Amino acid sequence: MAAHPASVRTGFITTLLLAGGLLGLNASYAASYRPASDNDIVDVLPAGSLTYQQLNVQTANSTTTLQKPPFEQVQPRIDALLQQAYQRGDPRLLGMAEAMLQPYRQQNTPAIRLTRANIYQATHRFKEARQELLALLKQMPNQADSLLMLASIDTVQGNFAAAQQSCQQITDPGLLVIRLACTAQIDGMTGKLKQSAATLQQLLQLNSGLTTEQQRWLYLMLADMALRLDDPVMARQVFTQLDRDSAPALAARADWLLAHQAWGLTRGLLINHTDNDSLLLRLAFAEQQLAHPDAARHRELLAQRLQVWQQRSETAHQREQAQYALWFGSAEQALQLARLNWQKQRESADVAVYAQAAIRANNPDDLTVLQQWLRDSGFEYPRLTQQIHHLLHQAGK
Amino acid sequence: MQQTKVSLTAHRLLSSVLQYCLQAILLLCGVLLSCHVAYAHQSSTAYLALQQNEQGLLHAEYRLAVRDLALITPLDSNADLHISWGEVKAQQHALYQLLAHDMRWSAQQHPCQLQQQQPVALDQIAGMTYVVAAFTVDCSGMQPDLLDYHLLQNIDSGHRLIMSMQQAGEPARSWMMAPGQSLLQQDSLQHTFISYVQEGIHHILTGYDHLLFLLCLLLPAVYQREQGQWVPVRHGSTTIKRALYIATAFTAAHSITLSLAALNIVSIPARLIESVIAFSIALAALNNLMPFLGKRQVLIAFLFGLVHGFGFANALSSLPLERLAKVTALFSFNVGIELGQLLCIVIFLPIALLIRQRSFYQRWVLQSGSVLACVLALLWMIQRLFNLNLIPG
Repeated sequence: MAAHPASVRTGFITTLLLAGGLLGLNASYAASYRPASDNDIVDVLPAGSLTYQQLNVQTANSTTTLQKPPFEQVQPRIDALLQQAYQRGDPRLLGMAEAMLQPYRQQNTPAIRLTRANIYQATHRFKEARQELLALLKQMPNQADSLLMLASIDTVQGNFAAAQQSCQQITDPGLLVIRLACTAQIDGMTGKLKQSAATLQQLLQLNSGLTTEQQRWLYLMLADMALRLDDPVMARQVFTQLDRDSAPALAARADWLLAHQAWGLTRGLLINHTDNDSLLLRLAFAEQQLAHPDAARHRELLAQRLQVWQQRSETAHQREQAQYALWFGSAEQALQLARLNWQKQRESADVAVYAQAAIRANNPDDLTVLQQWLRDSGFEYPRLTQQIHHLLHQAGK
Repeated sequence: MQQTKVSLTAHRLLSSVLQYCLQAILLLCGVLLSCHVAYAHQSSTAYLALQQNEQGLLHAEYRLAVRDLALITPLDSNADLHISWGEVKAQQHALYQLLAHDMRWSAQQHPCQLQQQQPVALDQIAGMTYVVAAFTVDCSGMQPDLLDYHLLQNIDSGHRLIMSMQQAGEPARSWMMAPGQSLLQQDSLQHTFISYVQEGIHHILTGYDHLLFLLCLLLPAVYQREQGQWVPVRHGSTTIKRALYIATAFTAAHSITLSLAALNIVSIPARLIESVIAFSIALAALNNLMPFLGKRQVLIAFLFGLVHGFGFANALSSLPLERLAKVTALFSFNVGIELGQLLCIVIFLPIALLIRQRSFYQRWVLQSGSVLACVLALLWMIQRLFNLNLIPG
């Protein structure tokens, strides 16, 4: 019995979305149509999509709990889906991976726990992910994957000391690079930004045995550091190496371009990625700055997507909602959303959106919260820190 | 200075552990390494707009993403990833068949019928192409009150249905549901109770291993051991009292573990549970043939009842999210199981009491029945333990 009244989290989000020119669902219903020709292409499935035939075989193999294949047989498919989900930023693939894992819900082998934690983390169910990882670490103390994921969750949530502790527990000598990178990531958020950037660069130079995914991880950290340090040399080095296909890499490139008001380049980079809401958000902002004719259309599409997230009662997109409000709504709306997001996430982008909203709204309370946090954590973002300091100084605080 | 130190340390250690290299890392891929993920496509979302006219007839428009249709029908027949309008139309019949199967409506527990109204159409929602299926829900003049929706349930755990309802004289309302059951009217607790009681009864009556265990414990309830022999009880009340103790112990035990498992407080691998359940039947049956448990059947019913409770939890459909509804659901599922058990006891005991004096009961029902149950249970146990497929069950 899963009847959930559609929850409206915050009234102002609704107002914001309506202000964004949303059509109600019923209004869009009226627009159903039938193409004139049978040959008209109505949709293009993403490359590598699971097919009906593949799924049919799977379902037949796992109709009952007792007849399901051993997890080891299913794991490669789940891992592939998670990998694709990460690269494309497509939550459908996460849902499919979770459904594939569902028959094993009563089992708690390390591999199953880790996969479950992975899905929880990707869908921002951090508490559940943490529970799985802690249970796994009881079974296998110092298990590197668990420690790394735990460090990642603690970093996202701003628990830097706990994250650092998890990194330090990766004691397998074969994973030294990973441990150093893990540590450097936390160092980069706790007062050692330049040193940790140098460490990551050296790790990349030293080791040619890093997998593509590991290299991407290091380059993404460096891209974030280059943005915060506003270091064009580092940015050039990173973006020459970073891929141009995966959603996280595209977002990192776009963030650099947007920070330097390269609106046309941002549009060129993202124009074929409107499927991804996070990239669409950046595209729509660049187009708005360019006064491009597509700007309104893309902005409305984005507003519709946000409405779907809201109808689904999803909370994993508060950062994007806050950023949307910052770029297309009022400073006050942005600030309220950024505050909500701040309670859950403290990555660089979360710090940035909260700080930008507080600066734009010139709200001394939020600016003070941020200043205090920046001092306590040692988090470096010189451009934002200066503005916060300047505004608080003006306000006599 | 510090940078150089880190660099040198890293270099030295790296060279010394070259043999481990990075192949040692199994899962340390990008997925684990960063939370900067912009999971921002659309999750699987379907829409159901309901409109009830003054005659009570319910018009429905169901919208399903073409991408989702491709997962449940052979939509992309030429496997070129490009979906044509012709390919969508070719799956129209399959879609309505799936809806009839996985979108079940009922009115006061009577099933309703779907009637297709017009050919499928297309729509765009938030930049995605949707196929639109229009139908009416015919409940023989009654108002449908329950929707049981299971489309994509085993394929995409993120699938959600957003429903909107317009009824004459009432304000429009909308809500979101995960695959499962949703009430169309608003007297929820009563419906939760009824529906979970039904689910409990259904499960105990179709879960033959639980029934067989109970039956193995009850078979000798019409006898008592005297000088190493089974002797029919003199008074029926002894049997009724014994059956009551056994059933109560079994119920109390499975209620505890069912609740613990359903609320995710305790989790035990299904394979282990199912194997121990089979073992419990074998043990109870063996005890009928070679009594070695004395008068401890009530204790056995309780101990193995704990295990059966985990088995029940595997069959329980997802619980409602709201606290009171969740407690009601859990309670009523247990009530349903209890009612199912009582029904079996009420049918079995009078017959057993009537024929307990006949040698037929002792030889064929008690002894041969127990041998059969024991063999069956051992086979189940072996196939469950080793993941084989010897016999059904």
